[in-house]
Amino acid sequence: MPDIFAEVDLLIQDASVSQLESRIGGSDAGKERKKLIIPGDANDRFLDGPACRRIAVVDFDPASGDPLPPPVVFTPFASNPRSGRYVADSDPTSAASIAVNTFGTVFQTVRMFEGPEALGRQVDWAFGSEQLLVVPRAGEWANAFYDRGTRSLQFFSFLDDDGKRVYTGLSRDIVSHECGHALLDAVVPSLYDSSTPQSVALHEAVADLVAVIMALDSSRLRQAVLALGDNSLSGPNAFNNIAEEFGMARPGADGMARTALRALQNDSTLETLAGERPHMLSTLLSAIFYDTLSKIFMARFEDEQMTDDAGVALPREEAANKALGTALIIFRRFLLRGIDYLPPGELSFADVGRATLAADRAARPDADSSVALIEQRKGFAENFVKRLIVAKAGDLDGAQPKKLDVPADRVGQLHVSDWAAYQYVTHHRATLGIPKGSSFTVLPRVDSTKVIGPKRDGVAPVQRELILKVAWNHTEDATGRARRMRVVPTGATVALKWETGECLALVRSDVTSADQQRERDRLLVELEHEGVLEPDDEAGVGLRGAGDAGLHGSHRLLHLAGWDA
Amino acid sequence: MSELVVRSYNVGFGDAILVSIPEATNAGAEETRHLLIDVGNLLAGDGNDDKVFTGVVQDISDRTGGTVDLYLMTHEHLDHVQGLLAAERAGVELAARHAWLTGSAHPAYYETHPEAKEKMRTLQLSLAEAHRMLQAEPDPWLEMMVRNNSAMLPPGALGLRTSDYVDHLRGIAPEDQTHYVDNTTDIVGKHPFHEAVLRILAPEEDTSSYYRKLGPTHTTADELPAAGAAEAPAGLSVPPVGVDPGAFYDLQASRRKSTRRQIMEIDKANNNTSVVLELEWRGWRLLFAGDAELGSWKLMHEQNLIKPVHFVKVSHHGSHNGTYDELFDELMPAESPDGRERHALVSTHDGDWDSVPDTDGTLSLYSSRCTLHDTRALAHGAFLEIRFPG
Repeated sequence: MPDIFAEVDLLIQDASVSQLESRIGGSDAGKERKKLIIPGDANDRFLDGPACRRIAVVDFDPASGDPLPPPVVFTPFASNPRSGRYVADSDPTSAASIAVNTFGTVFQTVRMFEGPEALGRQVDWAFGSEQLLVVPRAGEWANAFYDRGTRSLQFFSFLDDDGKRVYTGLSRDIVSHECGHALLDAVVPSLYDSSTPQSVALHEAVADLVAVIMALDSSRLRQAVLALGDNSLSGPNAFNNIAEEFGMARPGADGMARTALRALQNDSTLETLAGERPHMLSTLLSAIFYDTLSKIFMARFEDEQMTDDAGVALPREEAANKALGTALIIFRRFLLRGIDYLPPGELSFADVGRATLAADRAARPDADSSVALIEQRKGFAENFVKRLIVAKAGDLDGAQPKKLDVPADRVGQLHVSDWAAYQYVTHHRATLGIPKGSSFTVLPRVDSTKVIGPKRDGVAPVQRELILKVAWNHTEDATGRARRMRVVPTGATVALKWETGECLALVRSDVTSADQQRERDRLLVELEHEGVLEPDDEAGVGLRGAGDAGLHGSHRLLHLAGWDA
Repeated sequence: MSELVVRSYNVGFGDAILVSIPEATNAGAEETRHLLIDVGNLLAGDGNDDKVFTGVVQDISDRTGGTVDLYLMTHEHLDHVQGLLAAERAGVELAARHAWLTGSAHPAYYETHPEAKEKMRTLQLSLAEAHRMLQAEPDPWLEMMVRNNSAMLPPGALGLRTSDYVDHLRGIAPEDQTHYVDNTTDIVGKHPFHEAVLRILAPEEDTSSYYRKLGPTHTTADELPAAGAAEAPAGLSVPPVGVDPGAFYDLQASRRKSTRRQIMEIDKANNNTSVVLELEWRGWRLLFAGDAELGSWKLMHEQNLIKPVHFVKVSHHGSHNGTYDELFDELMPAESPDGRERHALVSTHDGDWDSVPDTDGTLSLYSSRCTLHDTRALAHGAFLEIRFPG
């Protein structure tokens, strides 16, 4: 059955990019046409809303707050009625325009995240049902958020200093960022209730980087940024500045004017950001990844400018654009596959580094890698050292213990059978790092097929993997008013090559260091001091229970008034 | 022997506190000057009774000769502002030589404080949403909250005219002796006292920090609905085709809960705009805390403003949020530093709020350190007195 699709016109960035608009050609400057594609075998349709099986817009009346009928009609093509078009009106801030932009951007972000060039599988939303609601006009606030409790992404609008209304649903950065939270929650749901500042910050960093990837996905924006930046990604640009229009409309916490909500290019270290709140802390991790993207681009750009066998070189602009397109593919795999390898539980930035390198090496071991790829990994690890996250690059090295290998014919059984999976983990509990006497949980196993290299003879090489995650708890004393025990969830990830059963990676996190415990205490005390902890508040941040000083709903700190910048 | 007298009336859930202060004159005699702090109660529940003000204000008028020397409106909550206009409507008038109103009640306050103005907009939109919820379904708690905070709405908004009560207080003293105060105000020449020393500990000049935790509103309307305004067309009652019904209804329920939380935050923030007044007289230190909640106490503590006192008007009618347990020793150490007797006054009412007063926690804390006086022990409209010899 052929794929079905809906055509939409999406904003390339947000209303702030007027400087870029002269560089962005086309008849409808600032917008580009996209095809939203549903695989033909997905038992799914596009409906008014917009809506489909996994994403649906719910619109609310800004005057009354009441739910409204779908603001946009799906118009089928006469020749192919299962496909069609969502057409907004000419008013860029109408209900229809905002709905189309939010739905389209969320749809594309999900598709990118799950595609064979990234995770290679469909994720299950963390809230346990099939459909993510998108609320393009949620009300008035200088904010937007993903909320697991209401299974929704909510986009607010606010008035800037000149009284002009700014719609967060019209910013591709913000929409893809919030969708990034929902997708990360699907992959590592334990992060939603983190007690460690770096764990909370990690959510923000990944969401920002998802926004970077979605910005890079626009060929017209790539061209414009390269033209403005003299074919370089250095300096502030539409990729490393997140949510420009929002940032310009809202001064920073210090009252200073700014050009974006967050800047991902910086020289911060763990030391310079000591004691910072999660939003600011997140820029440390996202900067490491942005640096990696820049380096991948520079290396590719040098390659693309070299002459071919006939002594012909690509024009500089063309070489830069091609290099950035390739860099996007490499970067997307590098980042998102690392996310898929993250162990359950509390995580540090170093854990992200370890998972990222492990996933990259699982797709292509060092022994089979080009010099450029090995340099990329080395530079990535050294950046963690430079920014004082780890003492030495070797601290990010992973393991591929042979003893975790299984016969090829057992991989399928490990996937479908809980009994087999528990038996495997029990047998290897020492290798996995499960403390003696600790009970553990084996999570549902993941079957993922990923593209691992460029096409050869029109065929992209793929690797099918089984990803097995096991979770257990560490307990420690907590400080703060409660002065009680705290449960710290932790775990390990094992990736097996489906074809052979060999262990591709073992990634373990360590939550037991004194530094991490101190950081958890610091966050707890700060939340208590600020009066943020709300007992029994299903929409706020609280303690998990009478006997556990771990945090519940800490993900909400990222959009809690006073903590959201 | 002359005495400073704190007289507190049982007006239901609200405050009405008259402080009579003897002051030595230049001629060597004594003259009693009167400070009146708030007169009001709630407009819902058993604690509401406008008629009580007639007798209470008449009594105050009798004691002060119809004019108090200083009237203090701590903050713009109905249970602190309503009494004088209600009494005047019943034919009992009271004037003031000086009037102090909390700084953010200044008519031009929001023009000079843009961040606070933004919070005010949020507040007004939220109250309008809550009002709309009330029209759809009765909710006594929400109704009480909306009314209590509605003095900050423009006249006629939501069909309420509660701002009239504050407007009345703006005019009870001569214009040049009506001041909007905060803890940065230079009070020299703005009050009638020569011997008693006044100090304003709160609120902050910029009140926006009290509103820090305000979240979203679900509407963005630029105009609040006026009385009798046509209702907006009803929204969908069922989910649109293709939308998960469970998620759709959960989302709406969450929005309603969010509005209730927002109203709670607004109420807390308004409490924190309370003028907290310290009064020293002949070695006694008295603290009148209005309805200051934890956020305000924390700021006072951070600025080292809290000192041990001999008297405290228990903040916020004895709620747990009105007393910062961890700072309590600063206010009332285990032993009186100078050996003088100590008193606390709680002006409250049962049955209006689930957690107010917090008898087992907050009130027990006070009664463990000093003599606790409670207006609930009085007949409706009656008063108690606490005397400080000087």
